[in-house]
Amino acid sequence: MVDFVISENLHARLNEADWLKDSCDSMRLDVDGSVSASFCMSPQSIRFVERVSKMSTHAVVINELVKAYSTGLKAIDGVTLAVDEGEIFGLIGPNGAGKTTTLRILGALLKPTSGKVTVLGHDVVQEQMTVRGLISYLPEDAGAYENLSGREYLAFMAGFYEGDAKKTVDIGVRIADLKERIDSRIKEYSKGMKRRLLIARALMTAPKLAILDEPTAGLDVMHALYVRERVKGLIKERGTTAVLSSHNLLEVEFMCDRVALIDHGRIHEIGTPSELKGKYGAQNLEEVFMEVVKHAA
Amino acid sequence: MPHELRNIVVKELREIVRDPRLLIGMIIVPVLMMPLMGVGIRSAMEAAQEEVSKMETGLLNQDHATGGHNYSDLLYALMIQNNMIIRNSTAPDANTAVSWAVQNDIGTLVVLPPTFSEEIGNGTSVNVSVYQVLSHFGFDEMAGSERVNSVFTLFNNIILHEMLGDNYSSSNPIQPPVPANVVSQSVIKGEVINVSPSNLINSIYTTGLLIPMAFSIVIVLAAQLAATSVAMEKEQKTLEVLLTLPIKRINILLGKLSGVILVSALATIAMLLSFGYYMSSLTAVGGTQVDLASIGLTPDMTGYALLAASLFLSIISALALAVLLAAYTKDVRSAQSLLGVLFLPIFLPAFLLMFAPVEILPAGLQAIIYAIPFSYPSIASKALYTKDYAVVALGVVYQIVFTAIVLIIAARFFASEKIMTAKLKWGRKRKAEAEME
Repeated sequence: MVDFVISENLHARLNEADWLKDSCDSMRLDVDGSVSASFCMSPQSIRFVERVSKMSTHAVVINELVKAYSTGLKAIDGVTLAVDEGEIFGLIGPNGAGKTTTLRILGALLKPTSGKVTVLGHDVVQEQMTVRGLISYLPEDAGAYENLSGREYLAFMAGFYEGDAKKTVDIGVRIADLKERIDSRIKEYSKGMKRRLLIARALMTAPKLAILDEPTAGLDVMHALYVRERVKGLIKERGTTAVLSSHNLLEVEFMCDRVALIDHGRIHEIGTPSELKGKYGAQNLEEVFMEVVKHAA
Repeated sequence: MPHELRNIVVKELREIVRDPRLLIGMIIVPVLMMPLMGVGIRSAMEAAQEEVSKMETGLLNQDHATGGHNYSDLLYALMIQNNMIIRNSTAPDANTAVSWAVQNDIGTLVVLPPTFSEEIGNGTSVNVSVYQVLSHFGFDEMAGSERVNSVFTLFNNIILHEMLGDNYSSSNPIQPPVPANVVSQSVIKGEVINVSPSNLINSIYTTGLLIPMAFSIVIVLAAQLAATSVAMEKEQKTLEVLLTLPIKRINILLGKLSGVILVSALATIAMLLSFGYYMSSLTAVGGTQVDLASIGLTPDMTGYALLAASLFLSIISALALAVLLAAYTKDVRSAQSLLGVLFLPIFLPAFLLMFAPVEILPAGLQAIIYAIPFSYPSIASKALYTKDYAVVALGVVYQIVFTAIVLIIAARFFASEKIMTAKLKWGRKRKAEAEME
């Protein structure tokens, strides 16, 4: 018995390896989550699987995650998914679907009731401090310290990370691109400027995993476009992994490599936007979303 | 009322009634606070009255009255009539009688001179020394002295009526010399001080004992500062970001507290400096104010150090409690309202101890006062005069333990997910849905 957690890519590659299938008694390789598969493989096959498995590591693995509150109501009810390194992964779903709770658990803010969540192999419960050093979390509608200037805010945040803080702040200032207003008090900023500053804060430390909850919510078209392109550009440029939630499905389609549709704490679909559109014969993700929600209900 | 105005009013009322934090802070606490304060103050007053009724009055009767008028007998009868418990002293002189009174826990000592009846009979005024033994400078001690004064007032009226008959009227602006002229003196730690206890206690109250109210305000302001700081972080979700940074949660808590503590320390120093100035400016004024320094009733460094320590620790414990309370709120308004639950324990000791020292209060009330960490600045401010530092020192130790426990609870709270999810629940109505965005 060999336990593997495999990505979709790896799944496809293994399925293509007919010689591997032939060498197994039974093979059940599911996408996402911790999968147990029974192999009766030759030493050569085992070495192959091990090698391929190492080549494709997961930034995030969520396995049978449940989060229930004191009322007994389950915000998350058995979510299982995996996010590859360098991938931008979107969580979409209606209000109260469990998106924010999932992101908060990923950010080591909340503890799972059951199930396991790892970030780059580190358990979010057992290794909280390590996980916090790897991630950067941006809550929906987050604010900043109003009496600090934008630059002071970035310097304050950079102070919690190892490395050259000044250099980190310079990177943050470039990402925010607020020109001379970076030295103004944050209370004088518009909502869009604040969000740009917060995005800069989240990405300036080059986190291994960026967790972005509704990164463009409430922004005007110009600011939303800026944030969207900047986030995608930086994440792809640096090889950062990102998990984000959004109600804006056009945004998700533009930014995300893969998306998961979540409702009532359960994942109903996972795939690339094109796969999902193809599966449901939809023009866009909004139609997919409506179909999935309709079926889930 | 116009429709739109009524609409807004109804919405506001619904918001308040349905928010347990607002309801607790703005309605339930004030509704409970005044009756509880009333009960507490009444208990304190009753305790003071009971203390007065139990207080023994010593009488050193040196009157040589033989035959004719024996006015000391009349005085004695009036004292008994006023429910005073009399103990006769056989001391050879007033000083020995004072020592006897101090040793035997006698509150008030009346010394009748050898010529008491003779001079009154001659229509001249005779001085009668009344000594009040002061240990805690409470209203009960002042009342003990006043009770003797009222007996002498009655005594003088009777004598004047007897001498002048219907020609005497107490409302007549031109008064004959009083038969018995009471000379009130205070006894502090066995030393006779030539100041009336009423003036002395009033001076101490105006200089020192109103200060706890000012201390209470400082404590409340510090608590508000801490609660606002945490609530604002929650409201703006900056706390949510902080909690995901690679920093130990305890450092977030200590960092937040340290900022407020620093400001509070400055407030404490400012308060003590202004307190010192206030005392010196008052003692410089004449009139009924007693120069406390001239009679040795000046606070010493030990007293100031204990007062500063108890005030500072009160502030810290209030901060820790305020942070915990604020963690149950989601915005500044709710935090400010919920903070109301701290007002009662902060203000109650200051109010109560104005009326009676803690040691004469009923046992239950004493236990409550000693259990409240915010009581000790009030107790310490009084100890500046009584020099009874043992209780204050023990109180400081208790405050350290109390503060440490609250800080540990707060640290655990911050380290858990409760800092994100804690909410007050109102009856059966659960708000879990709000947690599950």
